[in-house]
Parts: sequence; C-alpha cells; structure tokens
Amino acid sequence: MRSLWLSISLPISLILMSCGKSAPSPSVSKVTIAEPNYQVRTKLDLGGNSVAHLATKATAAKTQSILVMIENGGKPSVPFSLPVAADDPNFREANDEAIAGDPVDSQTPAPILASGEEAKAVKSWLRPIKLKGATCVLAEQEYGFEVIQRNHTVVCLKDGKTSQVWAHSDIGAPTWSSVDLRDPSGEGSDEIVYWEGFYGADVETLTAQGWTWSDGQFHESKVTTHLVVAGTYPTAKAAQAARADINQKKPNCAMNLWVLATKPGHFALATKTTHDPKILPKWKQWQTCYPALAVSN
Amino acid sequence: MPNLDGTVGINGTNKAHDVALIQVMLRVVKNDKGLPYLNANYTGVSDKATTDAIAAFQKDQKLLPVPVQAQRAGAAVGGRTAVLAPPVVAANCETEGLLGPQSKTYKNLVAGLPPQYAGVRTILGLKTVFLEQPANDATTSLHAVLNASGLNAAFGSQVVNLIRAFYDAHKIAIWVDPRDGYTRDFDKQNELYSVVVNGQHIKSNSGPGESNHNWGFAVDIGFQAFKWLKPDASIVTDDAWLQALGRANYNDFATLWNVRNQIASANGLYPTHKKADFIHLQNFDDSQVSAGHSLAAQLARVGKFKWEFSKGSYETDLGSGGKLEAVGNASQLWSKTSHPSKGLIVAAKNAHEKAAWAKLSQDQKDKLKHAAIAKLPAGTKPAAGIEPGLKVWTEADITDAMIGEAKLAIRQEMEAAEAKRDQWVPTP
Repeated sequence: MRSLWLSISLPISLILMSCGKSAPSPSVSKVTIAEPNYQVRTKLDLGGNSVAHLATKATAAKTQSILVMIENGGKPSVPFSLPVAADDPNFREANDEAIAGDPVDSQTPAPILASGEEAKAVKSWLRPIKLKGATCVLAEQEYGFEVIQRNHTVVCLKDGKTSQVWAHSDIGAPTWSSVDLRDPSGEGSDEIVYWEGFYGADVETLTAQGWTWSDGQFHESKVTTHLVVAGTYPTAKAAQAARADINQKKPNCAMNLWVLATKPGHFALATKTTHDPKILPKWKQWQTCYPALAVSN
Repeated sequence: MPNLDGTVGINGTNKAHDVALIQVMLRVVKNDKGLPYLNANYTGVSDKATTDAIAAFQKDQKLLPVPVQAQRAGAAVGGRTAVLAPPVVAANCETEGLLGPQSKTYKNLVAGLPPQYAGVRTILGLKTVFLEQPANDATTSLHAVLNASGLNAAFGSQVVNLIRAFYDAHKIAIWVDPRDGYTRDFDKQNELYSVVVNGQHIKSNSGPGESNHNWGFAVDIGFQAFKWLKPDASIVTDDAWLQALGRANYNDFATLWNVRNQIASANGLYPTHKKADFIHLQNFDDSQVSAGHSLAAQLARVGKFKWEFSKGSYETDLGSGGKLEAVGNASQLWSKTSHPSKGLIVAAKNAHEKAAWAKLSQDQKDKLKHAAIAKLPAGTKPAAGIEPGLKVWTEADITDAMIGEAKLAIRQEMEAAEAKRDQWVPTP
C-alpha cells in the first residue's frame, strides 16, 4: 500500500474572501475552510479553471466528514458533506478497490480515498461530469462489510456553494449500484445511467434508470439496454449452478453474470448494458468463454 | 384491527401516524356514490380536506347533531309542535370533524373498510400505513428458527422471543432470511464473498470465518410479504430488506428497522455496527469487535500455528515459532490459494526438523551425526553452527508440492477453527 499522498494532505489555509462588488450572499462570506482538521485529500481538475476537492474534516462526534468542494478561479465554495462520514481518521489511497460505470464496460475511478477496515470501511471518490451551463462533479461512496452499500451524488457550484443536484443510493441489502456517464448525442452534457442490481432469493434483477440534463436540472429519461445472454435455463437454481460452474472452471471469463428472469419459466445467465457489446474489446473473449452468447434488446 | 392511538381532526392530537391511518381509511371507504371521502394522498398532516372528510363521513353515518334549522323545518312540516324544543342531540353524536379511538366515527370507519384494507395499521413515528399479517405467519416464522441447525441455542431462543414480541406489538411477522440468514458454514461464506461484479464483492466483503453468521450467533431477520400503502393507498408488497419502502420513504424505512432494533434490544439482541447491514442481528455488541482479529485469535486458539491479523491479511508462522508472515485473506486461506513464501516454509520445516532432533536419544543423534560426517567429501568439515545429521532446509529445496502442502495446512487450520466454533470469542 502506498503512503498517503503527502503533497495534498496538508491543512489548507484558505479563507473565503469577500468578492468585492459582486459579493456572494452573506452566508457565503461567513464560510471558512481554514478550520483546523480540514484537509484536502485529493483534487480533480474539472476544466475551465475549476477544481473539485475531496476533503475531510473532524466533527464533534469524533467522525470525519467527507466533503466535496468545487473551487472556481481559485475561489473556494461552501463544501458539501457526503452522506457517509468516516469513523477512522486514518485515510489511505485504495485505487484498485472500486470500479464504476456500465456493467460490461467499467472504469476504475482514481484516486479513491479509503478509511477504516471492516465495519468502519468507507471509500469515496470523485468523477468528472459534463453538464451544460454548470460546473459539477460526481461524488461516490462505498461502505460496509457484510453488506455493502453505495451512494452517488452530483454536486454543482451554485451561488458560492457546492450543492447537490442529484443523488441516488442503493438500499442496505445484497445490492450493487453504479453510475455510468455518457454523452451519446455529443451535445456537451452527460446523461446519467443509474444501474442497480439485487440478489433476490432466487432470481436477481438488474435495472437501469436514466436522467438527462436540461434547464439546469436532471429529468428522468428512458434508457435502452442490451441484454447479453450467456445461457438460458429452465429454473433459477439451474442458472445459479451454471454460474458457479463457470466461475470455477473459467475464472478468467471476466463477465459478471446475473440470474435474470426473461419470461415466465425462463431464466438467463445474463447481464445488461447501454453500450453496444459487440464493439467492446472483450467481446471476442466472451464469445470464446460463452459459446451461446447472444444479444437482444 | 387498526390501531389508533390519539384523536384526529379539529383540535385533535393529530400525531402523524394517526392522521395517516385515518386518511387512508377515508380514502378507501366510499360514500353512497362510490366516491372516497378523502380524494387526496395520505400525508400524515391533518388539513381541511381531512377534517371535511371526517365530517362528511360522520354526516353520512348520522353521527352529528341535527342542525337547528333542520329541526325547525321538521317541526314546521309536522305542524304539531307549538313551542320548539332544544336541538335534539342523539346519544351517539360526535364532535364534527374529530374522531378518537373510542369514537363511533372511528368504529364505523373500521367497519366500513374494504376487506383488503381491514388490517391497516401504523406505528408511532411512522408515516407509512401498512397491513397487519396473519398470526400464523409469526408462528411459522418462529418454528423455522426453532428447527434451524447451527444456531446457538440460547441465541435461537432470543430470536424466537423477538419474533413473538414484534408480532404482539405491531402485527408484523418477521422472518430469518431462509437463504443466507442463519448460520453459514465457511464454504457458504466463501461463496457469498466470491460473488463479484465489476471487481467488487457485491454480496459481502466478509470472507469465511469473518462473519458472525459463521459462529452461530447471528441471523438476518427481516420482513416477508410485508404490505405497505403508497400515498394513494395502493398496496406494495415488499421484500425481506424493505427495498421498495427504502426507495419511496427512507425515513420510514429506517424507522421500521429501528422499531425492530428496539424490540431486539429488549430481548438481548444487538444490531450490527457494520454500516448498511440493517437486517442483521446478533447476541453481542460488535462496536469494538474486529472480525479479522477474532478469526486470527480463533485460528491461534484451536490450530497448530501462530496467527495474527493486520491490514486485511492473516499472518502466520506456519508452526515455526518464529516470525509471522502475511499469507492472504480469509477467502484465500479457505480456498487453498494463500501465498506462503518459500522462506516461511523453510523456517517451518527447519523448526520441525529441530523439534524432531530434540526428541531423539543421544545414541540416535550420534548415529545420524556419524552417518552425516561419513558422507562428507574427504577433508571436509561440517559447517560451523550446524549440527551434523540435522536436516537443514533452504529455499532451493522447496518444491511446488511443498507449497501446496503448506496451503493445505493453512486450510486445515481454518477447518479446525470452523469445527471448534463454540470456542470463538469476539475479539477487539
């Protein structure tokens, strides 16, 4: 494990200054991020002279708030507290320990800020998001031990504050969630595709919800997904057994398969994606791994 | 049977859960024209629409005093009363726009509920209205616990008491998740740990021996076919984890789990401090317990090697009595994919040779010593500090088969830990 990235773990000594005639609202002018224990842990360049900070700050409850703050032109803003604080004040980099994005076309966010083990484990990271007319960042957290939960929050710089404009979380349960950002129209704003999977007693579910950005806010939108089927089975148990067999015999076939009910009495070992799976570099490998591989909408 | 605690309506106590319950009733009970008395979503806030709906119901049920004007009109029509009597207040008349648990208005509302809503209930602090479940469900649930294998007996009794107490208090049957919610063996735990999506352990980060479920002191106890009402009073059937409620109303989701936890606490059970694991209960406080340190302590207690846990990895001496080295996570230890180094194996083998040497008689040692010296090339002396005849291993001697044997020995340590699970102790 690499040591803490010392170059950015020093307390920052910035005080939000008055902005002259175009001064922000009174509440903003009171804000200080020069408080003791406020530490910038990582930065993400958002372009356009804006930078997002992932920072921590000790609280009265002896936890560490995990904050996101967007700085524009060197001017800090009021930070936003992410939903889950850290119990352990010892932070480290854990860059290989989380993956985000589409179920079959994922990406590794970096850097990942991690703290605590087992019950106290919390990981947080930032990802850039393009939204027309706004300076924003996607902040995500993953936490838990026996059961793992994740939250996803888009914050934007507005009136001197880093404010939440969208948030989603999976419920504490055998669930998995992930956010994929894409701009298929190339119009300069990312769409959000929120993926959520649930491991039910027999059948599992994998769903996608979409949001598009217009008029300065997100609007729920329809998402078209492709179903990538590795095999079909008469029962959920048969599909689960087949998955266990594949995982054991073909550990390098890196497609994560879900037991999905496709229609009454039909179960598929499958996954879903909004991307065209056939143009992905992994497609040929999957075809070798799963001879019956098929795609449907 | 619905459970109204206070009064609802004009000048009522109007606690949110009571108001929500009455609003649901007024929404699902229809008037003579087949229309609901309250044509709005239930909110838990008593407003004019709510009190008007109560009054309209009371009027239709003839539970309000006959207005003076109406009595006068009646007298005029009858034409026989020369002097008007005071307004007639029927014995069962109620305060307009207000009802309470003992009121006729409430009793009539309950009597008028459609069959599918006959069991509407609420809980203090909850704004969501739900449907009570049959008592048989709770009985079946607690029998399942009594028949479960692997649970610590005293702990099982506490869980049964919880199921009984929760049903008595709220008419909700809670169930131990039949799939993974009872005691799990190490194989099952490893299976849960090994479910990976996009490189992430999506079911559990706990490896074999790292879950309290592996020791018989934990259950996942949630809901089954729990029915709650959306704001428009349509019925939602939720899963064991209340996922649908969690998405619709996170506060009520959290409140309902807290209600379960309060009753669990009264029965000697503890929720876990592990984040997000709402469904989990156990019979000890794990706020200061480390799963890794507990497993390492168990391995050291019942196994042949020294064990410690540090930074997600288990360290052992492989029985050498010397330095400990990290050999992998719990899943790797269990699945024989741990990574003992050649140096660690050498240390263990040499310690084994020394122990075996120490048990020999002096006569046996002398024979081996002479045989070793005899094998030396002419003019060569035994190496300094090494007992002739005592086998000394080096890393060059370690074969893949020996590494496999070391991995198997580590697996056997885990098997011993599992077999003697009654000796497991929560360790900070």
